[in-house]
Amino acid sequence: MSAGKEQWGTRIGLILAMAGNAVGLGNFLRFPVQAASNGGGAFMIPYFLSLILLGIPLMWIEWSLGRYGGVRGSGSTPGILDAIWKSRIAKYVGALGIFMPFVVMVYYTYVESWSLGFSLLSIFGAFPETGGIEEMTHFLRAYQGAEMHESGMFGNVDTGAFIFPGLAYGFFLFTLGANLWFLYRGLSGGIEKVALYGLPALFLFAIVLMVRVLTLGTPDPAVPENSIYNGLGFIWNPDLSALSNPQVWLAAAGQIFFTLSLGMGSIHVYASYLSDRDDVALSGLSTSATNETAEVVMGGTIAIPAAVAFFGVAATTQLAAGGSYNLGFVTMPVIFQQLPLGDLFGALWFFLLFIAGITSSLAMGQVVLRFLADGFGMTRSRAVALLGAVVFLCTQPVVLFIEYSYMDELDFWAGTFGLFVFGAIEVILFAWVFGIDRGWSEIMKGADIRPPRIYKFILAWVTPLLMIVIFLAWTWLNAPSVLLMEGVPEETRPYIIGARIFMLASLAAFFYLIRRAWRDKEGPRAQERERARIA
Amino acid sequence: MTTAGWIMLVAAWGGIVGLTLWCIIRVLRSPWKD
Repeated sequence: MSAGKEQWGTRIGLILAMAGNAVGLGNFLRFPVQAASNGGGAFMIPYFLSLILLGIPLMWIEWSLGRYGGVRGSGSTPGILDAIWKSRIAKYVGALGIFMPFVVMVYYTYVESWSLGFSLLSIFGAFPETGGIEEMTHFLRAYQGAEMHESGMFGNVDTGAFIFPGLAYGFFLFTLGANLWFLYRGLSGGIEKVALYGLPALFLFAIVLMVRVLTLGTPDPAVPENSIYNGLGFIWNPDLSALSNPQVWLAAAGQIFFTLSLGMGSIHVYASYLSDRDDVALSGLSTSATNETAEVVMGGTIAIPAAVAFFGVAATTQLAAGGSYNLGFVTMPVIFQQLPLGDLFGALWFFLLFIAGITSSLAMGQVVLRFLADGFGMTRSRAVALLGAVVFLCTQPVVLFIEYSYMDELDFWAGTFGLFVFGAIEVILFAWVFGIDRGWSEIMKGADIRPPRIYKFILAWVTPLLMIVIFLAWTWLNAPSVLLMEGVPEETRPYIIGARIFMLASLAAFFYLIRRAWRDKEGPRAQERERARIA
Repeated sequence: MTTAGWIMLVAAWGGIVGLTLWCIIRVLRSPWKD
């Protein structure tokens, strides 16, 4: 069967798959870091305002655009934009909605495989038992193949902390294989099944970890200020002076945008399998609410409060500044090592991250499959084989050049900057080209809830203006220094340039494929076939 | 954790969990139309 002619099995399955697409590593790692470093409880004010004015409206826009395109035979963004915007460049602008999921899948699958690998390593007690953060940092680097012990293995065999080179590669192959298998099983037989079992498991694991963290109390009575209460205070105590800082508002809006997987192209594809009568208003709101529960309630209660309870506020601030991956893969294992049954809690933590990861990477893969089905009539098995081969080849530099920021470069342009670009474009097209009256009736079609009418005004003016301001401000603050490689060591630059060449080549390849797909669809042969069919 | 911190936590958790439960109930009461 082609990937374009399938259907979701159940409504709850679709909502869980959409929520699985949105719930990712960022919910558990990025959110608490952002909240703690941007005014704590005060961060929640711009955060929730952004959810109401940016997140939920954009969610409705993407769901309704996906359904609109799917009903007309186009599930991926080139076809959707071509349907709403009568311009020759519309389909090429829509290429961003395939390019970004593809590039992100190339590195995300690898990171996802670390979670699986670390989950098993935790069960088998392979983490270093002593040495703290520094030793665990070496362990992570050894796992990634970025450093090697002289014995050919990393670590101290006597304490059971050692690791074979190539282990990460094995887990990567398994993870990619699992992704391809579920994609091959199809929409309701693969993706929906993973969501139906995976999301409840993820929530269960998160609740177990939350309870464990909340009952930590004061792990070291000699240092009473390092307690779980101060950990929660680090995230929630409001510093109202932060509200006068535009950076805090920008960080909150950016977090809402990333956490809901907006501007990516994957929500459109999942929604494209709906029929014209199916609701998008309640489903879109449910997806947002489920994601927010995973983020605000669970994500905010595990990593950072636990880090404060063990290392204190000052050290946690430093650890958080080291980035989300360090918090998840270095700090957390060290914390679990100090708890009774720590190996088990560590395994739960990493398996939770793995589920969060795979439900997102499946959405990325499905975007490419849907494009190949729509554009070239490719069968699912052929499309999965092609996707698997290309992703496998393109991930090799990510694996080999991990210490040269190759992955960071892909993450910045395709996984961050690109989302803002595409988000801004689609909201403008929806409100001002497709037209707010048509757009609003599209959202209301088959709706199980009546969104307040004020949202028509918000969708027409507030969301587009907010999106443009965020895009420009964020780009101004972040893009020039990254583009000019400021502060990047000389030896790293060739790898960064290599990553840029790869992204440009991928985008050019998608432009070419779109051109070919439209030529086949609209060319003389297609018209002849259409005339013959009518005759 | 200050009193203001607790107020922020309870308000955020209550709002989000409340909205999620309301959505779940509405979804369960509205199956597919076909």
